[in-house]
Amino acid sequence: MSSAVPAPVATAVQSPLNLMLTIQPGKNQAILDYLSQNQAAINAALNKVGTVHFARFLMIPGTQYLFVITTYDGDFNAYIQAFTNLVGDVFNALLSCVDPAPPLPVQQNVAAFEAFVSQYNLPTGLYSAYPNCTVVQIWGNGCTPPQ
Amino acid sequence: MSALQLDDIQGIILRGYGSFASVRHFIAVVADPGRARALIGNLARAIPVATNPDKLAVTTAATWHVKPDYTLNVAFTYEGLASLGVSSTLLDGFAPEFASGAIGNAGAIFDVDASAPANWEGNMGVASEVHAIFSLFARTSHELEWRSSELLAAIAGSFHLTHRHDGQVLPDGYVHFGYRDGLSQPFIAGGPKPARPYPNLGVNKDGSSPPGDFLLGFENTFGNRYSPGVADTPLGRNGSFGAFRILKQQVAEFEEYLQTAAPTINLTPDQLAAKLLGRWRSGVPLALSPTGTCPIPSDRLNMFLYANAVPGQSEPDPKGVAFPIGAHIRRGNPRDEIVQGFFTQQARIIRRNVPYGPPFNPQQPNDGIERGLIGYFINADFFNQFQFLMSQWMNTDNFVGGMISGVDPLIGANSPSSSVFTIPTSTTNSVKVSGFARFVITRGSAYCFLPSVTGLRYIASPTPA
Repeated sequence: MSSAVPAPVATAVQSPLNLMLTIQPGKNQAILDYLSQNQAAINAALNKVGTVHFARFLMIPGTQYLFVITTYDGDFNAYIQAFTNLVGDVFNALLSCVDPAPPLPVQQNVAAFEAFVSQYNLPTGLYSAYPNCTVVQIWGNGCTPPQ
Repeated sequence: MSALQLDDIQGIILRGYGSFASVRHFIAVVADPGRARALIGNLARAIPVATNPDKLAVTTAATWHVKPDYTLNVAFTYEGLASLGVSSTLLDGFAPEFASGAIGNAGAIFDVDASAPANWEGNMGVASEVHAIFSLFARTSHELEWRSSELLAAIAGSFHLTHRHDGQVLPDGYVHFGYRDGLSQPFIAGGPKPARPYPNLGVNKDGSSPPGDFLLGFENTFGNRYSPGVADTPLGRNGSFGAFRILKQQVAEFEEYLQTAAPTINLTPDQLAAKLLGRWRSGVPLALSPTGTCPIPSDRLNMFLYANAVPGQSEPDPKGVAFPIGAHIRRGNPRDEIVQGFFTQQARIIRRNVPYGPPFNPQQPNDGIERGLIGYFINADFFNQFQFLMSQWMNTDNFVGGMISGVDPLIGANSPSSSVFTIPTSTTNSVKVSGFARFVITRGSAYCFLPSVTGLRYIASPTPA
């Protein structure tokens, strides 16, 4: 990781995740197909987690890089059990197509998954238009989650 | 769900010992590892139905046909198990918070300032001074003294006593802050039935918790197992963790605050006390009796929700108009509220605390006598349960969507300059009280493991893992 990258910055309650995964040769299309076919289920699972503001999966054209980019609330590790319980199968599918990968399934290897995410999370700054608000607070103030 | 092996699980995990009024905790360090192992082996004799054995024995959760006159349980810190010769391979199988212990995790749960380990009583702030805790519960003070003498004679030469602290149950389950306590306790699938029914919150229909939330070797609410490196070994299986805590309650300060602050928002001191806790001092929850005038049967006191209503509950209270969202028991168990991380039932803890100090006399509020609660907060994983509760729910104001501010009014790390408690009303204007100090000060703490009888025998006579 370049030393020119700014130190990770979080707001009072929000943090960025920029997880860089390296796709195994020949698996790019399989990942795109999985994401396309499972978008509704992924959305529903993220909706349950209640800590994720935004999430997207970005495959860099012409490379083997897949980025998982999110903005999430709170201490990532404090919610890792809920996260792996609810979204673990999405990561099992993605991580089975990347190298290096942590031991799978992530639900049974939570500590290793936590360490993997920490290792491959590229630090960046974060701008937020509402730096002091959590997802559940936004939901609780009238901006309801999709049903 | 198969039945739990009650005669292998230490009784204090599954049973409340509510009729044992006199309590004494002995804190000790290993003096002679060989003799200590032999003692533990003796204490772990199989007593399928613990009545009154001739010699001291660890009390299991086996069903009592005749209630015994005392109970004995024993727990060990990481340093204690290491001193007794448990291999580093096995010790490494426990979740890391056990090794770092109450001292290493003090900051994470806001044991800071006056509550910091440096200020704990009885050298509890020094890890090498806390290896084992022997806990005696007796039905009378006479029985407690007798069994204490017996225990001290038994451990002489094996363990060196570093501290002891008594507790004394107050009438009708009240605590020094003037509330009836212990009305909502998790109960474990396959274990003893609860005193009061609890709503189905999507985990088990009968409101029970999965065994893995409180015992190693079983599946937890998240669908996996805590401390997998040791959970299926003779040492780990059927064992549990307990955060042993000595918690000083600032009773005079609390009562004075109620008297001072309540009139500023047109409440009586008892009404403000109810808003801060979420129950009237009688134990009746605000969810079932917002005005405190509805008589509620004792077996209904734990049957309520927040975002929804159970049958018999007049209406849901998602905005906290009757039951403030920041009230102590709503923070401690948000039940059906939407919270960060979606789950609310995975962070439950079993409370095995009793009061210490004499009953508070309002006529002599500043008598200089320390009062508080002493005992265990039991869970299968410190990080995901006890510490999660303390760090995420008791000491933040953004884990839930509704109107909430500050940290927990009763046990949060408050200071007069920043403390605030929001009481929503039926209009858009909420009222707030502020300027209160921290009402609970940590006086001692130890992260302990409560092994099964099989685990105690393993410690007594270890075989290669």
